[in-house]
Amino acid sequence: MGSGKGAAWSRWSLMPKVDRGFFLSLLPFAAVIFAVFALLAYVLVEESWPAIARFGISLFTENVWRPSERGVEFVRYGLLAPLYGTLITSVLAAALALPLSLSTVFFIEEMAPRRIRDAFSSIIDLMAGLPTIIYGLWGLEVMIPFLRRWVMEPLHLHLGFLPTFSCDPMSGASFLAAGLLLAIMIIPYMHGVIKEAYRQIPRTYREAALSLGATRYEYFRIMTSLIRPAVVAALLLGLGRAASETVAVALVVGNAFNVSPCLLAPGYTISSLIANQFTEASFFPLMENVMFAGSLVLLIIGMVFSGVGVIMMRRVRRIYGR
Amino acid sequence: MEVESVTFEGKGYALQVEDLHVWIRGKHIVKGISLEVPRRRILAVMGPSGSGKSTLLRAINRLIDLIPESRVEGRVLVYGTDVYGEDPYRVRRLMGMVFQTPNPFPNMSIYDNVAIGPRLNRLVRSREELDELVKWALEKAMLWDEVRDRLDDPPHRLSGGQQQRLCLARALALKPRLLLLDEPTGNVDPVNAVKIEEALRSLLKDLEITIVLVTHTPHQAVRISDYIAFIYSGELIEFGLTDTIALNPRHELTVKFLRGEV
Repeated sequence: MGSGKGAAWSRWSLMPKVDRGFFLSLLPFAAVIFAVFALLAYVLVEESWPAIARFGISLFTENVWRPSERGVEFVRYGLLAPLYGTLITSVLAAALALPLSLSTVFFIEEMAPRRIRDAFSSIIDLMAGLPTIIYGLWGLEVMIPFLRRWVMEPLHLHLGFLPTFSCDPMSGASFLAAGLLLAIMIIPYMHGVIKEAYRQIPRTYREAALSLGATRYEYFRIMTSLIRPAVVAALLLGLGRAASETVAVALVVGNAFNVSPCLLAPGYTISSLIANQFTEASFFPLMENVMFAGSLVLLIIGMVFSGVGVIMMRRVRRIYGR
Repeated sequence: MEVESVTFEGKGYALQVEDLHVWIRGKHIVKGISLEVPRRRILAVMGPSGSGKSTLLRAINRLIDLIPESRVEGRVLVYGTDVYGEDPYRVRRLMGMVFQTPNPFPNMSIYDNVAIGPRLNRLVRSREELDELVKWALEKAMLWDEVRDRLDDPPHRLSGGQQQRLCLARALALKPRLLLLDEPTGNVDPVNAVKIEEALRSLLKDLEITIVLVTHTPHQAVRISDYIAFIYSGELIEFGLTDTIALNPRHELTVKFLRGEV
């Protein structure tokens, strides 16, 4: 039996004429996808190059934001604060969302009555598709006041000796608020990835685990260990989504150039920086190029995370011989 | 339920099934089965495919709970414990099970596959004790000599028959009172099938264990068991000592099944 891969090329001579035509007619559509991606990457590199050439590595390791209309020699940019903010908020989001996604999958799949299960599934699918601006407004108007009053102030008051809670919450817009909102936003995705893998676990392994006298909790742990690659994949996809989320974060993160370990302080992320400042960027030399450099970093982060995530999902399938 | 405190009356039954009915999605699968198996005996449940044998087995250890829209009526007692009067997760600790297709956990080593039961049930206090138990279980499953040098290998390096004996060892490591086997040799080559049968017979010599074996081959049932229950489309057609049923089957259907005609 021949392998499916590359069969179209190696069997060109054997291919009926009508199929050759069909094959050739499909080719442009596939090519468009590659072309768009290549063009995208090219533009990002090309546009960010002047900034990288001017500031070198300090563009990513310094926290300065000194635009000037007077000329290119007067400006200075360093993206450390938004890079740091992107990292902190997305790690926080993934760390909060992972246990919640895992436990909701298990609860819904194993313990909840059928009707609740169906209702919950619909709601979580709906949540994945909601426009992100809705999350942003809700976060700004509902979550932040609540968070400030009931979480941030008590944390600062009682655990203020920890660096992470040492600063005054002020408006409430902060790394913590952004991380939490992002967690809520990525739960549907992580839940979806984990749920798909969970449902793929053959019944025979469920039966085996239960026949060994596993309690519900032990059963949960065995099942989770069976889909560990999918859990890692969900984590990475969630991280990727959190890092690239824009509008909602721009509304709740506070938009301040800040590299502080305090989660209650306002900060910036790359995408919220671009969303906030791009309209004015053209007035200042090099600012647009700096933003393109930030986007390039996002693209690389996104590619790495989804790449590894996809590899992990493949491993799940291999375990069950699919 | 205190598993450890279960005591055995000399003439107590290991398994009592009383008027057991099972419905799945409204379909009547098991139709009023009653039988008793004395301690330290092998019961073979035989019958054609789709006769409800596997469902009966899953009703005994309540894996039936996994099947949506299933309903059970009647009583099952395992060494005196009412299976449907206890938390299913706890009651399963009395029993071990081997399935039709070998299903060692693919993400665990050979060793861990055997050790997982004792670990879950906290049967051992030290690593040495666990090592001993794993060795014991693999010996009982007649697999020790073949895997002693590669306990850390993943189970998929073993042949199908070896994997099935690994699953037997996994079940035995819990020292179950009742061992349920669902056509354990159905997907296994003849050599391994014989080894599994030998292993099962020898278990009864020195263990407090009772075995229920589901099979669709009358030969295996006759070869290995002390009692036979013949099930046909969910009904218990005949139940009794293996010799009696093999030599003097009373029911026409049993005769036909033994001859391989149904």
